[in-house]
Amino acid sequence: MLTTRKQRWIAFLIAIAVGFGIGVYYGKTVKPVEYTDIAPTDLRADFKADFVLMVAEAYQNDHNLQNARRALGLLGGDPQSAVQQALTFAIEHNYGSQDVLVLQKLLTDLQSQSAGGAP
Amino acid sequence: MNERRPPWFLLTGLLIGLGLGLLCSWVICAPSVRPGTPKQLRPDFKEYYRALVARAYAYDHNLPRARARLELLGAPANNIADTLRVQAQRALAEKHPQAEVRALSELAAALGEAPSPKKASPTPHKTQLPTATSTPTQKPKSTAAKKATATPTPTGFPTLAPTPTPLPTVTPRPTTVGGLFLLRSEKLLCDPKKGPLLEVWVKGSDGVGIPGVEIEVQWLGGDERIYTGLKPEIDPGYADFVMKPKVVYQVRTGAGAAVPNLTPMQCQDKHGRRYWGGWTLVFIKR
Repeated sequence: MLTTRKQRWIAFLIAIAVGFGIGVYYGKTVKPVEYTDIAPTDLRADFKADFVLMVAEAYQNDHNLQNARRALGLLGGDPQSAVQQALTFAIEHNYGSQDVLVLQKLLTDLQSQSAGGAP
Repeated sequence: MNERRPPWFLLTGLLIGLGLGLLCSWVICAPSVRPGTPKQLRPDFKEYYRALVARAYAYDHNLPRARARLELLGAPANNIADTLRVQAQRALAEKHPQAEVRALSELAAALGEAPSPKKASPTPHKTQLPTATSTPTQKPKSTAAKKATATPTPTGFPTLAPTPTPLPTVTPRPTTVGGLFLLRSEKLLCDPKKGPLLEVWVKGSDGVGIPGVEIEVQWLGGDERIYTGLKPEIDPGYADFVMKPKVVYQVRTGAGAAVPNLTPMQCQDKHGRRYWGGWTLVFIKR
C-alpha cells in the first residue's frame, strides 16, 4: 500500500518535471518572448551597423554633421564610438569599399569637429 | 477487487509543470533586454528609420538595398511605397526638412514604379529574426550577422555598388503654403492611362507651380489632405488623388472656396470602349 502511494508521488513529480521541461521548451524556443517598441539603442549589432551606414550615406548627401550626430545619438553613447564600432563591424564583415569609405568619412569629420572644439 | 482509475494525478502534475515552465520562461527567467530587429522598433522610431532609408537612398540610389531595409520594418512589400507616400505628406505638413520630404517622395515613386522582386532568396528579416534562444548577439560574428553582411543577396546592404546617378534638380520648396487660391479652370480628364484621377495644379500669378500647398479632398464619410510638390518630376505645383467611381468629392485649396460635385465621369475611347475619367483643376494664387 505504502509502496503504491510512494510510486504515485514519484510519478506525480516526474510528470511535473516533464511538464516543466515542455513549458520551458515552448516558452524559450517555440514562442519566445519578443520585445516590441524598442529603441534604436536596443538594435542588434548588425542592424546598428547598418543604421550608422545609413546615417553616413545621408551625411554624404547633406553634409550636415549636426543631423548625423542627432541620428547617431539615438544609438546611445558617443556618436564617434558608434561610427567606430560600425566601421570595425563593416571591415570584419566585408562590407563594400564604398560603404567603408562613407563610414570613414563620417568618422573623420566627427573627429575633426571634436578636435576643433565645435559642438 | 482492484478498481482501475485513470491516472489523473499524472495529468495534474503535467499541467502544473507546464504552467511553471511557461511562467519561468516568459516571466521569471525572461531576458530583460534583448537586441532586436528594426521590426520591433517603436512606431516613431520606425518612421525615423524609414526617413533615414530614404535619405540614404537619395545618396546611393540603390533601390534593392532601400527595399530590403524597408522590408526589415515588417510592412508588406506591396504597401511600402504607400507608407512612404503617406509619411512624405505628413512630413511636409509637419514642416520637416525639405530634403527629408523629397527623399521620401522620391523613394516612394521609385518603389511604386519598380516591380517588387520575387523572393527567391531569403529576405534579411527572415534570416535574422532573433529567437529567445539564439546566440547572444552582442558578438557581431554571429552566424546571422555573417549571413546578413557577407553575401550580397540576402541583405544587399554592404556590397551592392551605388549607382552614381545624380539627384534630379528640384527647386527648393517652401513648407505648407497658405493664401487665397481661386479656381481658374475645371476640366474633365479623359485619359485611359490615368483613369479616375483628380489632378490639381496650383500656380502663382506668373504661371509657375507652387509647391507645399495643402489641398483638402472631402467625400461622404471621409477626407484626405494632399500636397503639391510631391511629384516634382511633373510640376512643383502638381498633386493628384485617385477618385472612386460613384463617390462625390469636394476639393478645397487653402482659403479658397470649395469646388463641389466632383465625381468620376464615364469617357469613351476611339473604339467606343468606356472607362472612368477624372478631373483637372487649376488654381491660381491671388
